[in-house]
Amino acid sequence: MDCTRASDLMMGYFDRVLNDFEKDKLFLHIKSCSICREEFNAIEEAITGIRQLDDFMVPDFFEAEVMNAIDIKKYAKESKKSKYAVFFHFGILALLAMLSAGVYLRFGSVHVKEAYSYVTSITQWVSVTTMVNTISRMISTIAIVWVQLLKNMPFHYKGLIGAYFGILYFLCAFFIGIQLILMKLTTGEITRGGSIHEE
Amino acid sequence: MEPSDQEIIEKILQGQGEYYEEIIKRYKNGVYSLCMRMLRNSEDAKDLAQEAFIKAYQNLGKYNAEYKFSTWLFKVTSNLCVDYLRKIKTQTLPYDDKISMPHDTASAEDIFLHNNNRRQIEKAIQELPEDYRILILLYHKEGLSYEQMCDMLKLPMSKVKNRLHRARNKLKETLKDIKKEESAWTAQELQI
Repeated sequence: MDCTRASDLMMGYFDRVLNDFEKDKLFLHIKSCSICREEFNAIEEAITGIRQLDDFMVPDFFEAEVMNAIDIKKYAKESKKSKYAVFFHFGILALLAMLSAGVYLRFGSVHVKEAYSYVTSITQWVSVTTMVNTISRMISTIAIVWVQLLKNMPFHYKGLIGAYFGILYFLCAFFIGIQLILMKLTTGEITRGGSIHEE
Repeated sequence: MEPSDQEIIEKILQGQGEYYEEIIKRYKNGVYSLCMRMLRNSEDAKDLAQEAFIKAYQNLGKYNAEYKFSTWLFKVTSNLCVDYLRKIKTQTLPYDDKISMPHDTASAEDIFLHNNNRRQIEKAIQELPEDYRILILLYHKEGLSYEQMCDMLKLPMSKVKNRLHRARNKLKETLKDIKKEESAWTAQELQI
């Protein structure tokens, strides 16, 4: 084995990645080559020296100063907060779902064909592209408002669970919005009034 | 039996923040030593070590228990050191001013040899460029793996390996020069 290969193996040895066979090869070379032996010993001495270095001792009052600088109640507040956060979100979602269902039962039994005819009558006055643009603008505005609302809620989640809650809120708002649009479209019509009213 | 780091961290996250003092006690000297060897200035090292503990506390919720807490703490510390060194160029203090180690019951000769050897190693480490110094300390002193260092310093594996290999060679050469210089000085003193 030449010295270049031995030098590579040496680095592998200090990286702790050599197998027994490679180690044997390296030590065999080191035994016979004084230059590599000197190099190996010098690196080993430096590394052992580093490993055995004592730690510096921190100045007095180190812990006390850190403890004074942190808020030791930080996680107490957060764990209390997160305990209530689930109830808070589920409560609001349940209310929204009930509101959505209530609006549907009271006003939402619109005949699909009739609703379609209303929509087509609107498209006679407004172009489809303008409608699509308006709707997409509306959706993006709603999404931005929802994100802002969620951010400013007293308890909010970050990460994936926050995204789930966000989607649920958005869906609730979307369904309520649809009910309201249908209500507006059918104002004054015989079909308006919902299933309860019809009965 | 002493509670593990993980058990203490769980207690802290449940609201018992006073347990953080135990964590500080366990790692204060290690964190401070890393800062000291990186910054070469005891005042800055103290400030940065304290900042590292404060930052770690504030982000404790993000700590992933799959990894050792000490590794994560050293990651926070080394990032602070690297950022700090980027901003400021520190001055080297005389070594004797910085080292205040406790001595055990070893003989005077042992203490002298140990101190002499340690001083030479410290000097050699300090003469390394910052990029090399951090790798040498994290790998050989703190026992971090290559993967952990790549993740910590946001560097590719090949770069970390190359730098560490070059750092070892440089350290070896520097140590050799220091020893040569000191033995020449001792020989000169003896002649006088």
